[in-house]
Amino acid sequence: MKTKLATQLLVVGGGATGLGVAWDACLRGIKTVLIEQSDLGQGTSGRYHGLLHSGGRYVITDPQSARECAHENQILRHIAPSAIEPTGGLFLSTPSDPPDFSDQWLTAAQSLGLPVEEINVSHALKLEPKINPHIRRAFAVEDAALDSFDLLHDLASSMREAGGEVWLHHQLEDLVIKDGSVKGAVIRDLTTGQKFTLGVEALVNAAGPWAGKVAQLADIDLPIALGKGVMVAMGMRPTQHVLNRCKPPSDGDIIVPVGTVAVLGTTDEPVDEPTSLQMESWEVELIMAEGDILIPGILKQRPLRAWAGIRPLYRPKPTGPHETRTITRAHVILDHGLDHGCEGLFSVFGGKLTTFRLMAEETVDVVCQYFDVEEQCVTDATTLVQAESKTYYHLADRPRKVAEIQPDQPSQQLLCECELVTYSDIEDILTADPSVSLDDLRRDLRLGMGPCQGGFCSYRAAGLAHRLAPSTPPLNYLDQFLQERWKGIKPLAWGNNLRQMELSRRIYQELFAVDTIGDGEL
Amino acid sequence: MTDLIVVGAGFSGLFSSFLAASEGMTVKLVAQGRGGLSLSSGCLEIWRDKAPSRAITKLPAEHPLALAGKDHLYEGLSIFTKLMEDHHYPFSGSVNRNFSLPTAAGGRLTVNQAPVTMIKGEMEQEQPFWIAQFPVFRDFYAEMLPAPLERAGAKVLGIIDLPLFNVAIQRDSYAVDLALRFEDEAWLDEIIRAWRPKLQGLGKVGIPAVLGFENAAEIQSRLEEALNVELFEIPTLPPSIPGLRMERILRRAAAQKGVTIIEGSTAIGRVDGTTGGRRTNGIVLQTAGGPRRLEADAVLLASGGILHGGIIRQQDGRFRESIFDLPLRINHLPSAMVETNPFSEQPYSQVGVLVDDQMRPLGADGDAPMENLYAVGGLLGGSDRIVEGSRHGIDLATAHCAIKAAQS
Repeated sequence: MKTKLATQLLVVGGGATGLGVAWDACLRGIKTVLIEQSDLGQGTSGRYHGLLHSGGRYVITDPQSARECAHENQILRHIAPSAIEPTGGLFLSTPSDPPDFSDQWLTAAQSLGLPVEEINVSHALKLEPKINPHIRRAFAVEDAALDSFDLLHDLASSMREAGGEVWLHHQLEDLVIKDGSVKGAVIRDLTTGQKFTLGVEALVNAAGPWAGKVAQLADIDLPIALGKGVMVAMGMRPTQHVLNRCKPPSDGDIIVPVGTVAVLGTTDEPVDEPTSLQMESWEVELIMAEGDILIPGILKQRPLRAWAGIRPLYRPKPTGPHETRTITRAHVILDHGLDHGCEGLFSVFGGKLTTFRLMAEETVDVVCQYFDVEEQCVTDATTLVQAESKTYYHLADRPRKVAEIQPDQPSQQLLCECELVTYSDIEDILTADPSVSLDDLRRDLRLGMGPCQGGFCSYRAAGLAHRLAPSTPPLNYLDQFLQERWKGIKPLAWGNNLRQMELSRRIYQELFAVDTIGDGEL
Repeated sequence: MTDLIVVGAGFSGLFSSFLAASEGMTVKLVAQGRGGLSLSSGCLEIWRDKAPSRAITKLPAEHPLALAGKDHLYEGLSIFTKLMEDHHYPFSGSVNRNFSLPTAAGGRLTVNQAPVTMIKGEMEQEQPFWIAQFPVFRDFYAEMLPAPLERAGAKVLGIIDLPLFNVAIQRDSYAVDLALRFEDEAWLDEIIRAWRPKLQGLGKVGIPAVLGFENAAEIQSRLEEALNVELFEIPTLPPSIPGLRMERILRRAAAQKGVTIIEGSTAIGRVDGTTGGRRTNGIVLQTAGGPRRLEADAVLLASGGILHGGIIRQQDGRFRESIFDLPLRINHLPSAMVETNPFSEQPYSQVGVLVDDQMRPLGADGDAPMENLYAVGGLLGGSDRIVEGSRHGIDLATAHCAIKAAQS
């Protein structure tokens, strides 16, 4: 059991904001531990649409956010190049969008100094032949695709290299508050079930949609609202640019090419709980129908899976049960010493993945003031470790990878044909860390993310895990992974997707009887 | 003149064709693809929960097995097992009793009949066994079996890694590649020599199901005698060889009885009949040269359920029978079609064609059946065959019932 542990700063939450805060704090010489109740990016960061914002989306509704996005966009391209595919983006005024909006939008974007260029429609159609041929205007912006799992892993590595620690599967259970300041955190290691107290001098609550629950441990009500967004990944990549509707922010206004797929986003529904991730079929239908306006015919194509993420939004004062999208996306940093008489406790929430570094910088500035540390932030000029040695996984990498696979080497056999994952790809990861789950392999290697949604590779990867990491609980692997994949495709239960679901049942239930594993006697 | 057109080359389509041709009918079998036998364990499932002979008497009246009835099941079953015996691939089992076989994931498959190559895996025998595997083969992982099987009371003695040589392991090798190798006698002699030090006299050994397509029983007994062991096959990730063996035998038997198999052709509709909407004169096929009429006295649909395209669910949530647009049995709301747990009974899987006790689809009004159209197997509604473990029970009984009706 861990006892008498202490750190200067405890960061709660393993998303982009928490890791950004922890990385920044470590670089400024603060002894930092980060805890995450599950795995990196299991919350909002890992459930977004994959867009590095140009800022264009917010030029009218939230100019401050727009400016911040544009600025951070340039910084992230330099510090996290391996997580970013510089696709570029287009704002398209389709016949379904308000015609006078595009002038307003262009004026606003230019006055904010955003790099925007109007391109003529025929050129836009040449760049992206599959877009709606009836668009009226097109504007090029500096959107990009940003893989949040890559970003988070690089942040965690960078933070560790700077002396910090990341404790996964550790949950904050209580706060120790004495004489009006935070002194410790009661933490449970969810893997072993053990509970211990960590001495802390300050705590940053970066728990995203769970931030309200963390603050409640100190009897503080955070001004937070939760908004659920649903996204759909299509089994194709019909566009090379990010495509935006040129209209006020609304449901289904964006398509982001990510790796081998295109992600359609998104919706915005107020929800009460950070776990309210269930999707309704109307949400999926709406997103696909809106996407069809940008790329006619996409409605008839095959969606691979759908998922939902929860935005933690800053809501300064109660405004009644109206739509959460009208709330500004801008972030907030609350010093609960000033506001609530709890010294050393800070909360950061709101904002966007694109602005995580800025949020972290501002948060650590406040923490440094609290600690009397004078170091300045350097994260805007510090390239993440590993970022230089890796390259972003492009669609065009696939034929190269196939060519590199030596056909006569058993270790080069494909275990996941859809995403070209080989035996040795999985072997390398399992050898380095036998505790990784199939879901980790999915995030690291895109295992099971292709058209068959794990139909064939789940068994092979689970088998390999049993071979190389025999202590792994057997059910943890196959059964849970299949259940998770099922949830992702359940809202898309029609056409070939439903056939795919039935094929999975046929293999795993009828042929392999996975449902009988672990249910005892004959 | 064609007496009967059968649509679908899965288990029920092939078996129906064989039955009809055995009764002297002229049969054309039309198939879009290969059918689903590559997904099959190669055993027969009739009813999973309890002894099929008892369970079948207690089914709801509209269940396909209940509609076809016990006699057709028993007759179909005995014709099928006789056929397999004639082709030197005998099955064992009794309708009064199910038994369990280990699966490649450590599960327990409940079956009613198993082929000779698998039968020694029966777990109710409570004999300890070893599990062998080929480490270079990506579709079978023995390490998954011991823990769950032992929890279920089996005694697993250990895992044996067996070498394979002169097998081109490509970046995508399948069980089929290995099974073809086992049919080479000279290669088999080499394998026996290489395996002897590892297997000799070990008792009972489970092995990935790749022991050849043809002569599997012979390959098995040759290995058993040479190595002094008892072997039983465990099906691998699809393509599953024991399923493909059944397909080969059924196809060969149908062809021997004179069935014409037309592959790569999609049935897209019916040739309209003369007496109201109650008769069909055949089907329309989509071929490379355009739609083509294929006429016959009767049509039997064995086009499968959701997985095989016999039933299609559209994006708007509606279900459609893909060839004749037959009325479907739908007992759930569109929003309740998919259960959250993948292994629960799935309402979408129970959507299907409703038939009378001669397997004739009922009309839109739900009463008078079509006169010369039949539907069998997975196309029928009222059953989630995966959860029930009723696949071959339904296929055998409905095929036999339909062919008897078509004959008269």
